[in-house]
Amino acid sequence: MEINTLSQVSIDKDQKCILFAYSLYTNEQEYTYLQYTAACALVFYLSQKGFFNYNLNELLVYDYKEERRYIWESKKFMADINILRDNGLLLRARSRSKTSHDVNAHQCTILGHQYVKYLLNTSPEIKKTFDNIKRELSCNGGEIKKIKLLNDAPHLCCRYQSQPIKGFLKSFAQSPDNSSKIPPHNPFFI
Amino acid sequence: MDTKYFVNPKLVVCEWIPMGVNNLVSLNRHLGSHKKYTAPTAFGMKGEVQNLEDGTFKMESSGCFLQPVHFTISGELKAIIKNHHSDTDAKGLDIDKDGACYIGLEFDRQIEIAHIKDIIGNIEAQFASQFLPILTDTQMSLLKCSYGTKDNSKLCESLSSYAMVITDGVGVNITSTQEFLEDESAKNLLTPITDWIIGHYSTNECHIFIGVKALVCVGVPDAQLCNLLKKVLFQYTLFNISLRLYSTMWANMKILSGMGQTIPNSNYKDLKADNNKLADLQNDFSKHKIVCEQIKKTVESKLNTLEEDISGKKSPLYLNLKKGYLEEVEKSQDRSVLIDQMTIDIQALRDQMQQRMSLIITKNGERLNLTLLVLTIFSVIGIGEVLGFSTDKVLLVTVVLSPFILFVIRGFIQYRKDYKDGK
Repeated sequence: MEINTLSQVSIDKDQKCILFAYSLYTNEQEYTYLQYTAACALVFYLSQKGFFNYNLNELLVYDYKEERRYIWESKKFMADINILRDNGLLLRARSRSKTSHDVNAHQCTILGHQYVKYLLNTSPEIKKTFDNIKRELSCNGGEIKKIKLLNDAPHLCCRYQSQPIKGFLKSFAQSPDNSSKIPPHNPFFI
Repeated sequence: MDTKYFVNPKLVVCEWIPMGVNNLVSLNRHLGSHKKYTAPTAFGMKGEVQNLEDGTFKMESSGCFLQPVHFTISGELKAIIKNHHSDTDAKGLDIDKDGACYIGLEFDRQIEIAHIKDIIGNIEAQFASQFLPILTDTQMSLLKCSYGTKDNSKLCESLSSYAMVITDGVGVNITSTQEFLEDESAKNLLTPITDWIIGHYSTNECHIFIGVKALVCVGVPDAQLCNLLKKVLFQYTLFNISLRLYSTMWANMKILSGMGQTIPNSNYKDLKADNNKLADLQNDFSKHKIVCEQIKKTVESKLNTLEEDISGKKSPLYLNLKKGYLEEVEKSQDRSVLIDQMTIDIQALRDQMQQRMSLIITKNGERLNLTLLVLTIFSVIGIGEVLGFSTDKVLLVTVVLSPFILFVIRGFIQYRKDYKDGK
């Protein structure tokens, strides 16, 4: 791809950082994909670490392994993904699994990888941010942490460590000591 | 001989896919039609996610890309279909809940008439490799059953479609289809694409030639005629599917009647093999029944919409189209009766087989008992020898036993024949 073409790509910093995260985990040429649920978990974690400024209170009912759960998803994040897709930097795919006939996933395209490389070479500021993201997602040995969707929470895992991403899954199950979180209200009939 | 060309042709290939509302809604939802995505989504990648716990996964190959253009969530989907996101070889895909599937492309140049079938073949093959992996296992199973094929790769080659060419011109002036077909120099012009021409109509300033394999519309059809042509296209596609389905059923019926004739002389091993084959046939007939029902529902649905289009119109094209759909309903009912009859025949054959198998088992049981008896007598003789019986006595007993021994040998041979490798 021509440098001129890459320089014409116009995306904001959030979108660049999302693309970089995808480039760490996926590759069009290798047919590797990142589940959308896992991507949400990853960006939620990076938002907690201050790399994004997404609203962490937005929710989505979505597939989490074989269940439907309340997970975090900011509509701005969703829109950013679509902008990356429209620019040909990210691909959306629906694949099958052994137990379900549809898994929503994305992958960084060849162009996406080229663009990340271009940014690393041309923008010291963004390179610094990318390096920080990579450091945040790496184990001590430099290996990129895997994302595991475990029952209690998604985890960022490497050989010696499994770190839960707290707050990503929301559970509304009532416990005796947990009073209703619905604001004060009266019965209503239509 | 002069080479003849279609001028700026638009080519539409039609297929029937067992679809239904649920599958269409699912496709629309997974594609995100309602989100009005402007970027395509990949489907049908080879492989499957092994463990949903893993955030990342790897597939074996890429799939095809669908980009929604228009949709109604439970009615239809129009999408651009391509091999990769920057593919320049994209085609239009239009599929509805009834399984009418149109793959269309247009050329802004002249295309040689004789070359069109080659293009159709390529479209069919591309469509099969792109779209069939998207289908569910059940859809694939029904489709394979319709075409009488067992594996997916053969299905890709055996899809039976019907095609349509809409062209601005064919290089000769046409005033009416009748005159065109009576003109010795022109009448065979379209046959490389249509094969035998079985109907022709001049209507709405267009000339329509309906062949066995494809139809050609010369002129610029208005929206109303386009809608009608789509239905004609689908009716002939269904006609081809019905024909294939009946051929598959016929082949199965032949197997069934062959089995009925061999049962009285079959050994245990053959009966066991036939019993398995019978289970497969029964499974096939069950699927045939579902396919027949789906086709019947499809045709009835199309007939309903056709009635709305047709009201008050006396055009022979409309009337023949309706007649064609009604014939499909009749054929579908006829096939259902045939399947019911085959189901009864299968049950009767199964009973006959069970009887024959029971008979073989009983006979062999008797022979086994006899063998045990003779072995017991031998043991008694042996004991007699040990106890010092005379030779005369031993000889006498041996003579008495001879018929039993012969019977045992014959029984053993029969047993070998019935059970050889049949366990």
